[in-house]
Amino acid sequence: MSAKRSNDPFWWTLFGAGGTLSAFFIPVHVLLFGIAIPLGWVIAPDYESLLRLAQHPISRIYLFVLITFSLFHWAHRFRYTLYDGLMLKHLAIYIFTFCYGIALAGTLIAGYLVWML
Amino acid sequence: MFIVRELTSIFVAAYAVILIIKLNALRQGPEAWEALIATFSTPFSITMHLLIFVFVLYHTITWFKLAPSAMVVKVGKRRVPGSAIIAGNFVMWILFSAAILWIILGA
Repeated sequence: MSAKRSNDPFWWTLFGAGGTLSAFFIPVHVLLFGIAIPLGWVIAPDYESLLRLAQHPISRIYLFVLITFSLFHWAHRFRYTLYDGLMLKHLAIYIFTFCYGIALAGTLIAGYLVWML
Repeated sequence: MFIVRELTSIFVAAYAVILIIKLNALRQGPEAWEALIATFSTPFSITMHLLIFVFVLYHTITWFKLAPSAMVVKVGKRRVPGSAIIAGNFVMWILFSAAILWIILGA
């Protein structure tokens, strides 16, 4: 697998960047909005404050980059899981289109949302 | 455990989609946001988020453990030992997470 991976440095770079960003930043978001706030451990900031925070240029870039790179991280890993894990190498072109198509769609939607926020 | 590590990416992507849903609700206005917060408070959502949390935590741990083989850090001529790189990643992770909590809760 490593030989194949070294053949597509571009996708691998996206994979690596997404793996690192998601490792550092996703857990805290899941914990805060998905667990701590719903269980009442902490009080959620009100809508206006959150919107103002998210509208800050750094927040927009942060959210866009985090979403996009996380999706491309998934696309790469899932692609190779299907190729090697499920022996679907013969469907490579469809799997490639499916995985990166979803990542690209997510990128466009995330870009639109952070731009229009 | 290799396959579990590979599968963590599904949960990473799932949360990227949830971030998109959150952004969309934030953009739509206070009612949409309150409705989403209410949805997040259901037992189903909390269970799903706990599941996502366990898998992304596993992703974070395995990712950091692989970090020394992905990069060689040198101080002067001495190579920084892998265990120090891993420890450094974990310390940075705690600091970044605390900073994010501080920024959001202080908003």
